[in-house]
Parts: sequence; C-alpha cells; structure tokens
Amino acid sequence: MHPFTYTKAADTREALVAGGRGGRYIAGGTTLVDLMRETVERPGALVDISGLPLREVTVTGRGGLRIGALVRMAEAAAHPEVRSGYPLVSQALELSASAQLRNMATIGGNIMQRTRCTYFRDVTAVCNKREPGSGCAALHGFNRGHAILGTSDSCVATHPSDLAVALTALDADVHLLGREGERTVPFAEFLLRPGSTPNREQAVRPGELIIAVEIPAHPRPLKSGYLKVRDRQSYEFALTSAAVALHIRGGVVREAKVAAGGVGTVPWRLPAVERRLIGGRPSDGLWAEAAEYAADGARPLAYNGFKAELLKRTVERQLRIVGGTA
Amino acid sequence: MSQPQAAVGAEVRRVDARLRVTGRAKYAADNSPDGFVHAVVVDSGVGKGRITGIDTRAAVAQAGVLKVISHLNAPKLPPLAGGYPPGAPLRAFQDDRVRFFGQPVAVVVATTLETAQHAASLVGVSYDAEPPSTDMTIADPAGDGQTYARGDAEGALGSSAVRLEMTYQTARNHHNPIEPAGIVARWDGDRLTVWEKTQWVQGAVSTLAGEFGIPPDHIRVFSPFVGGSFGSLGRTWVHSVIAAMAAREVGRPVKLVLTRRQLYFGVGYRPAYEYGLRLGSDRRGRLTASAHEVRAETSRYETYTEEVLNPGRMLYSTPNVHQTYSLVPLDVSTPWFMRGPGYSSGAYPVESAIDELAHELGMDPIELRLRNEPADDESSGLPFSTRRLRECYRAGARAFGWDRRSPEPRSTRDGDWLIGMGMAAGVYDTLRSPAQASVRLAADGTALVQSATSDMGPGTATSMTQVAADALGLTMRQVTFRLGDSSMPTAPIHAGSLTMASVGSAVQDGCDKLRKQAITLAVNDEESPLYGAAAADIVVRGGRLYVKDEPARGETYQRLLARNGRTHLEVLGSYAGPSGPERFSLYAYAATFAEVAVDARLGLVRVRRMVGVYDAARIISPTLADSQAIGAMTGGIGQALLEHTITDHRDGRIVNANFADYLVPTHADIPEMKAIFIQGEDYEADPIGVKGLGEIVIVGVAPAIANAVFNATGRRVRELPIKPEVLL
Amino acid sequence: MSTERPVPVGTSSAESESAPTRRTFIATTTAVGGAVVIGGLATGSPALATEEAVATEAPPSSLVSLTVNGVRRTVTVDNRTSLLDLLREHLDLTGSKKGCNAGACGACTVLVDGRRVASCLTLAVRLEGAEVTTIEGLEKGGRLHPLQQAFIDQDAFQCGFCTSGQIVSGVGCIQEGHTGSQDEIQEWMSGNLCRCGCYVKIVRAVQQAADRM
Repeated sequence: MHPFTYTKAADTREALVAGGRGGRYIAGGTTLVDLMRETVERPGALVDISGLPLREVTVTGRGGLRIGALVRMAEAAAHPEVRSGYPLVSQALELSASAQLRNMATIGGNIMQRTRCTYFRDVTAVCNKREPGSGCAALHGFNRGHAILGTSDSCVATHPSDLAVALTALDADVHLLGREGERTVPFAEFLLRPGSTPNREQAVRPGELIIAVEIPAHPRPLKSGYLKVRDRQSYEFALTSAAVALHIRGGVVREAKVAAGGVGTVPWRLPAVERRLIGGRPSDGLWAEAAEYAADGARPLAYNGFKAELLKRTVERQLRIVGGTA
Repeated sequence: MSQPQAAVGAEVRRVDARLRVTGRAKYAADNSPDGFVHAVVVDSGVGKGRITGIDTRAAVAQAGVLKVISHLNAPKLPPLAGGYPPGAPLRAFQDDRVRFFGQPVAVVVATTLETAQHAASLVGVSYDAEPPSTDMTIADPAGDGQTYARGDAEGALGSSAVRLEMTYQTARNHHNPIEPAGIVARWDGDRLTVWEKTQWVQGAVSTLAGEFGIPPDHIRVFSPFVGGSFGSLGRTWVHSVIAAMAAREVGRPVKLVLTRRQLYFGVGYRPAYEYGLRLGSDRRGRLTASAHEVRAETSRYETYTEEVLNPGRMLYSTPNVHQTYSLVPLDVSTPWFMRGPGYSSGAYPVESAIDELAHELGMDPIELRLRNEPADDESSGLPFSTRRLRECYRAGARAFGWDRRSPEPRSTRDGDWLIGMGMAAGVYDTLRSPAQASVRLAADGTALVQSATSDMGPGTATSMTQVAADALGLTMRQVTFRLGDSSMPTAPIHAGSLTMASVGSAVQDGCDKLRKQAITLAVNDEESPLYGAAAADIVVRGGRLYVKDEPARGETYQRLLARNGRTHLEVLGSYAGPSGPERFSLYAYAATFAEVAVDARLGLVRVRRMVGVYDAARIISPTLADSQAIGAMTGGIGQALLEHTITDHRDGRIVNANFADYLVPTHADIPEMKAIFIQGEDYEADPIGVKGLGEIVIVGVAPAIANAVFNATGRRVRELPIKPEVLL
Repeated sequence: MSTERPVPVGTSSAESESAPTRRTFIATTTAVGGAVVIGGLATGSPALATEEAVATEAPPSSLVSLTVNGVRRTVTVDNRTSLLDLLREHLDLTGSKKGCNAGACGACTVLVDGRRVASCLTLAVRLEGAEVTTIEGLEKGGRLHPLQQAFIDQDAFQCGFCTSGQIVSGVGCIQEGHTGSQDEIQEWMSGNLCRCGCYVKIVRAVQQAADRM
C-alpha cells in the first residue's frame, strides 16, 4: 500500500475542500482499501467522510425514498421503508458480499465499487481501465465472469454491484454535491459504459461527493424481487442476476421494470423484455417469451457464452417468482 | 493384562479446545520474538525466462527498509542431493532463471509490515521472458509413461459383451487452508530457531540444514498449532529458506507470511488429470477388463507422481487391466499432495465409470459393485488384512435410504429442482512409518507424553491423550500430550493418514512400557500391597494399580513413586513401522452417498444431504473422527462443484488466486451430513489397530456427487468441477 | 514401455531404488530427510549486497485512541495499518487471524462498536473513539462466552484457525437476530470460510448459544 495522508472531514464543506485538492473519499473502505493493498489504487490523500451527516433514510415529499450515501448496506437492507416498499433493494443488498462487509460498506460506496475483473486487480497484467492504453488482458484471457453486454474492445469487465442493478430497474437518481452545488444524475447515466475510456466509470466530477440515492415514487404499487445466480449458494458475485418489478392489475401487466446484473459492463436495463411484458397476461408463456429478449445484443467471449442463455432463464425465473402464474 | 478401555472410543472434547476458542493458540505468524522485522516476497510477473535486472532503488529508499535480497546478492547455498520429489528443487535466489509465474525473485526486509509490503511493490524486475508452456492438454508428456498390466486388457475389451469408453478431467485444486504459510526465523550465532507452519517439524529441520549446510542439531523448529494444511505444508518450501536467509542477512529475527495469492504459486496443489478409461464387462456385470490412460501435470524441474492408478487397479475384481501414467512437465510450480492424494483423483473416473456401467446394464450401482468385490488384492496378490466395504455399502444404503432412489434419471422433481442420488466407493492405502514418543510419569501421578508430530486439525493431541490415558491407566486430565517441537522424539510427517497408526503406536508402546515398569516396581516392593502379585494380573485405572480380580488390593502411582523415592518414571516408546515386505493388502475403505438438487433450468447444483460410511478399522476418537469425515465431505463438495485453479496459458498466471474467485464451499453450501464407522480393528496394520482416516474420508465424495447429478439430470458430466454452464 | 509383466507404480517393491515415490516419501519420512547436504556453507558475495540509499521520510502516521476489549489504547499508527495488523503486530492480540487480507474469508472478524466487520479492510487510523471487541475480549472473568463454550461442546472446529472469526461473527449473527433457522444462520455466517469443513457443527454451536443467550 502506498503511503497516504489521512484527514477526517468534520463537515461537508471540509470534505469538498479536501476532495477538491485531490483527496480521495473513503467511506466503508471495503473496495478502496482492498484495491490500495493490491496497489491498483494509490491515492496520496484519504479524506474520511464517515462523519458526514449522510446517514438518513427518508421518504421524500414526492413519496420516493432517499437513502443517504453513508447509510450502510446492512442498515439500508433492514430499514423498514426499504423492506416494505422496495424488497428488491433489500434483497439485492442482502445477497451481496458478507454480513461483515455489509456492516462496513455504504450505499454511496457500493455504487462506486470497481470491477472484480482479475486482470484489473492484478497490477502485473495489462488493463485499460487501470492503465489506459495498455490493453485488455481479459478480452482473450479467462473471461468466464466477464460481461456480454455493453462491452468494447477496450474493456469487458462486469459491473459487480447488485444494488446498482436494483437501482437501475427502479429508475433511481444519484444526488451529487460539488463546490458548484448539488446536481442530480439519473442512475442510468451515472455508471458509464467503457467505450474507449474504461478508466472513466462514473459520471462524477473531480471532488464531487455522492450525498444520496433516491428511488422515485411509483404511483402504481410494484411487486418486486431480486434473483442472483451463482456457482455457490452464498458470498459470490453474480453469474447472472435479475431485478424485476411489476405492476399487475386486472390480470394484465401494466408496468414492468427489469434489469440484469453479472452480464453487463454496467447494470443492464432490459427494455425489450419490458415492452413484451406490458399488456400481457401473467403466465409461464409470457415470462418465457419476454425473457427471450433478455440477451439481445450480447457479445459473448470465449468462456462466458453460457451467460446469454443463463440470463434469459434467470429473467424468466424471476418474472415468474415476482409475477406468479395466473 | 490388557488395560481397560475408557478414553479410547469415548466422546471427548478436544484437550486444546480452550486455547483454540479463546484465540490463545499460537500459530506460526503469531510469534513475535524481540527485535523481529518483516519480510515480503517479490514474485515473478512472467511465466518463464531470465531475470535481466532488479532495480531496488525505490524500495531501499523507503525509511525502514533494511535489505532487498535477490539472486544478485544472495549468499551462495551449498548444493543439495537426493530428496523428494526427484528433480532439482527451487532454491532461494541462486540463479536468474524464472521457472514459473509467481516464483520468488526477491525479498524485502523492513522494520514494519506496511513498509515491507510497499517497498516490495516498488522493486522493479526486468526479464528476458519466453512463452511458458502451462497447458497440459496440448503439451507433450515426458517420454514413455509408467505402465502397469495384468492379463490382456486389449484382447478382453475386444471380446467384452459391454464396453464403455470415457475420458474424465479433473481440475487443478489448491489446498487453501485458512492459515497462510508463514515462518518466523531467528539466528543465534550459527543456530537457527524457527516458528513455522509445517506438517513436519523434523522435515523442516532436515531441509533447512541441507539448504544452509549446518548441522541439524543447530536448528530447532516449533509448530505446535497448524491452521489447516491438507498436505500443503508437508514440504518445507523455498519461502522458509528465504525467511531464514533474510534473518541471517539482516541479523534480526524475520517474520514472513505468504499472501493468499502467493499460496497459489508457493505451496503446491492437487494436479490436474486427464483420465481415459475403457471398461469391459459381461452382461451380468462382471468386469472383464479395464484400460486406463492417465495424463498428469508436473513441473519442469521436479517430477511429482501420486497413486492415481491404484483405485482402478485393486478396487474391483478385474482379470485384465492395463494402465499408463504419463507426466506432462510444464512451466509451473511443482504439484504436491492434497487430501486423499492420487486416490481422490483416481476414484472419480473409476467410480463414475462404474456408475455408467450400472446404468448401461440397468443394474443397481451397489449391486454391480458387490458383484465385482475381489477375494484378494489382484494388484499385489496379497490377502486383504480387513476389507469391510460390503458392510459400508449395506450400512450406507440403510442410513441414506438408497431404496428410495429411482434408477431412472431425471425422474424425481421438487419444484424447479431435479433430485438425484448417487454413491461411490473409496479406498486409501494404510501407511505407517517409524515413530517415537517419550512418556514421563511424575510423582504427582500426571504424565507428559511427547512426540515431534503435528496437528493440522484432526486433533492429534486429543487422540494421543486418549491412547496414553488408557495405556497408563490415567484419566485424560492426568495426561498432557505435547507435539510440534523438533527436539521431541522422532515422528514422521503428519500426512498420508499415518499419524494415528505410527505415533499412536509409539505412544501406546511407551505407555505400556511405563505402566509395566511401575507394576514391576510394585510387585517387587515389599511395602507395596501388590508385593508378590503376578504382574500380568495387575491393571491400572484412575492412576491406581490393583489386582484385577481383587480391586481392594492396590495403590496409586503417587504412593508407589513416593515410597520408592522416585521423582518420576520415564521411557521412550517406539513403533518400528512395517518390517519387510507387506504380507497383507492394507487399505481403508469408504462408501459415500449424496443427494443433490439440480435446478433444471439454471444448472445450479446443491447438495441436499450426505452419508459417509467408513472402514477405517479402530476409531480412537469418535467425536474427532466424525468431524474429520464431515469436513472431508465438505471439501469433496468443493472438489466436485466449485474448485478449479485457472491458469492463463498466455503467461502462466493463475487468474483466480484469491478467495473471491477460487470458490470453496461456504456455510450455505453445506447440508446435514452423517458419518458412520464400521466397527472393527486391524492389527495387521499396526499395534493399535487403526487404518488411518484423514484421507479415506474424501475419496469417493466427488464421484458420489457426480453420480447423483447424473441420476438427477440424465447428464453425465465427465469433468470436475461440475459448473452450471455444462448443465444448461 | 513394457506390458509383459506387472510393473507396479507406487507399490512397495519398486520403490526402494531409483526415484522415490510419494508413498515411500510419506512412509519413510523418519528415515529420509527433505534434503541431503553436500559440502559446506558458502558465504555470499557482499559486493552486490551493499545498496546505499538515502531513506525517504517516515510514512504518514497518526495518533489514535480506541478501546480494545475494554482497555483504552492510544497508539501512533502508520496510516496504512489495518485494524488487524494493529491488533496482531502492535497490541499482541493475535487471536484475530489473517486468512486472506482481502475481506473474503472472515478469519479477521472483530466487533467495532458492536458490529461485526472485517478488520483486515478497516484502517486503524479511522478508529478514533471506537470500541473494538476481539476474540480475546469475549471471555469474562475466566468464564467462556456461551458461543465459545458451544464451539467446544459441538466440536465446531478442527485446526482452529478460522475459529476466532467464526465465533466473533457468530456473536454478531446472534446479536443481529439472524438465528431463526439453520438456513438463516448458514446464510448470515457465509462470510466466514472454514476449510476443515466444520460448518455443520458451527451452525449447531450458533444455535446452541442463541438458545442460551
């Protein structure tokens, strides 16, 4: 680990000043400390933001839910408003990492977490995300866990967050604070596809601080849930996952929000699946037909071709679990 | 007079339990001698080639860095000869050659761990790199393989009514104990003391003596607690030499602990196999012939082999057998034994193939196995000492509910899950080795028993205490067993399931001798109530010697010693090991049963329950044996479904060298399990009648699961681990 | 390659001469050493070993006050020092173990302000005012914590290396109330790997302690 200076920000203003000088924010630290130890990350200054007042979960005036950036994963998952209103979010959180890490990691840090690509994490390998222009070792390497959607010739790394898949499905927003003030970025635009600049991962400006994520109110009640498919039963990143939220009334799907994880360089919204669902009558047939669109545009690599089929089946399964069979 | 059995066979708690649940047990890296400093190894970032330069300027510029050692400045070590495995072992910085990715190329010593780690990341190494050859499936084997044959396998296969031909593959697995390999080394003049994670303290002495050219009696190795090992620290690897070298170079004690990633390059692994198998049988399921063509990986600098062919040679009666074993040398680190070595890898193809044959014949897999039970060991011609495999099948089938299994694959469902049952046999040879144990009975009636053995988890101290307590006629509380110090009486490597048989027999011998010495003292002591009694009539219980049929006539060890002015009695027990050629075929046996659920659409496999039945002869400690068996079934689930070390053949890098990507089972992967031990002893094996346990319990677990997956899905996966993608 | 007669591989008769096998190695380890010495010790060439360098200044460090097992500790730590390394290398509390140093095995689990966390991913410098409980802090006045006792009763460990983390994590799991069923315990304990494979018994131990606490 490279040496660094450490300061703890007493308030938001102090944090922004330190961040503006190039300090790196640290909250839960579960990704950052790990990557610093691997020397993938080498910040010269850490700014501890854990003391900032960003730890509230509040129902907004508009009826949405605002989760402070420093709310820990475990706290968010267990929060009554999250549990009752957005079980999808609770489930995605509780299927992530381990109890220990969920007690440390924050919501803001979760959506800032970096890929698990083995070549990214190994400083002796080439990686365009870590060292722009050095090449992508995963493209023709061992890429079973890598993305089939949203990839480029520069990068095929999978986005690892389960929470981000849920937030993508639910059309969440990210609230950011910089020295110029606060701004809001739709979650769908917050995480960036690699393109030719895989080193740019989030639409965060230098020194900006995530202060909250907000899940908008959904006028129509949604039934939702998260399914994570992995080799072992627990404590593993997803091979595939599906976040599904449906509003079914009168025996017809009126609204559908579906996103996939484990398959994309960013969480992958599945609009074609959603379109097929809307207006349909819940049935195993509908779920299967809709899920057929889940892997549209997939670009499989040598070891992850199975993910396209597995994704379809994951989506189909979760549609059935959430939507039932009428 | 034989002693009453009280402690042996009893359900007991571990004698060192309190130390282990309070964090007070000191493992190697927990030792911090005065003035110690930290060492961190720098690994090769290429898979083959020569080091052309090492830039240490940035590293040594860090405050607190004491030294960077590489082949450019390392002291010359004396040449080695002999040793195991055959070849030229990797030495500590003695040349510029890179033999495999991750090979140590330098070590940084610094006053703090943080500085040593950081400085290690600053060492710049340049290479003249060559493409390594690391892919066993395309590389050439080294010359002709080893061969075994009996009868005419080709001819018999040609005329067999039923013939099957399959190729199975098993992945490379890493031991991955939770404790990383680590060592603390301290020199006092020309004497070396190390606290090291090892399964063999005296082997470590021998290796370090050879590496540094110093007499073995100048070296002392401590390893009282070992945090799991599964074979990996059955060898003293180069990192230990590096640590000792560093300590001598900087003149201070050095602590060196490998990182999790370094363990994938530094302490061996279960080699990958490709196992071609042809089976012939008649219509009634009698095996006529089998032909086995095995390819295995080894390193280019050492030749590692293991008994992968044995299950296919002696488990079933087969008149015609032909086997070849080809080794493929690669630019990789040397494989090493991992729990159930050879047998566990060999049982998978053999036991899968038997299951395939049973299906082909429409016969119950247990019935097929029973029809091929041999009368004696057809590979050696020797009679079995004991072979209670039939009993294993019977007890297992009953406990598991084998009669509820539908022989028709894909015929049992539970919602989205397909349910299947499978079983497999296992075998592991009973190894023994010479051993010694000192026994000292103090005037207060307590005993201290010592042997330079080890405990990587099975509970050596506890089971030895049980043996000693009964032989001395003491309670377990009155006996202390110590291990893990090279100055103690000689013990073999703690591996190959030989510790109980070997060290246990030495303990038994020493305690018997000591008890008899005390009895002799008593019957010749005019003041003893036992004076004049026949020594053979006297037993000892609870520290009191008495005439068996006249319990009131006796006295305690304390009184006897006190009256005779003895501060203690002391003897050295020994076990000579097997003498001369074996007269019997000695093996432990297992039958493992598994029920799996396979998600029909998602390809996920989850084990629902398991039963393991074992013929390991006498069970000294049922509680510990139960834990070992359950633990091995857990490890076997990993082998069957999760574990796969993956090499990027472009440069020889292991790409999943961490616990997030090399998957071992978690809590949530493990169902309820039951272990059953077939009663019986085997005194042909050793004086205490045991056949060894730690290995046999894993042999057959993986094929039992694979066979259950077939029963669930109708898909025969001939590759371990069984991943969801092959079942989609 | 001969096929005319049985050529045993790895059985006793062919082992004595030529190349040793794994079996002979194992079974003769008291007789054969790991290595045999030829010649004496040569000394290194000191010319290459004398690297002269001007050391950089000491790495940034900070003063931190925290409570560990009820004892207030004020220490100067290198900013890079993890809580795990602080405990192990500076406070002589070696019960917490380093299995992976990456938050993936759970062997380093401790309670910080009552919550179970991975101490390997916790920078010590951030713990000003924190209350840390390690495995060494569970025993009170010579009495084991109910979960420590349950681990003994259930034989819920073998090598013991993951045990500290399992027990502290189990204490957290019980306090969090995730002990409603065997499945729930298994899921909420999955951050603690046990390679000896004691999971079945660890779950029983957590159940036993949860019932008694």
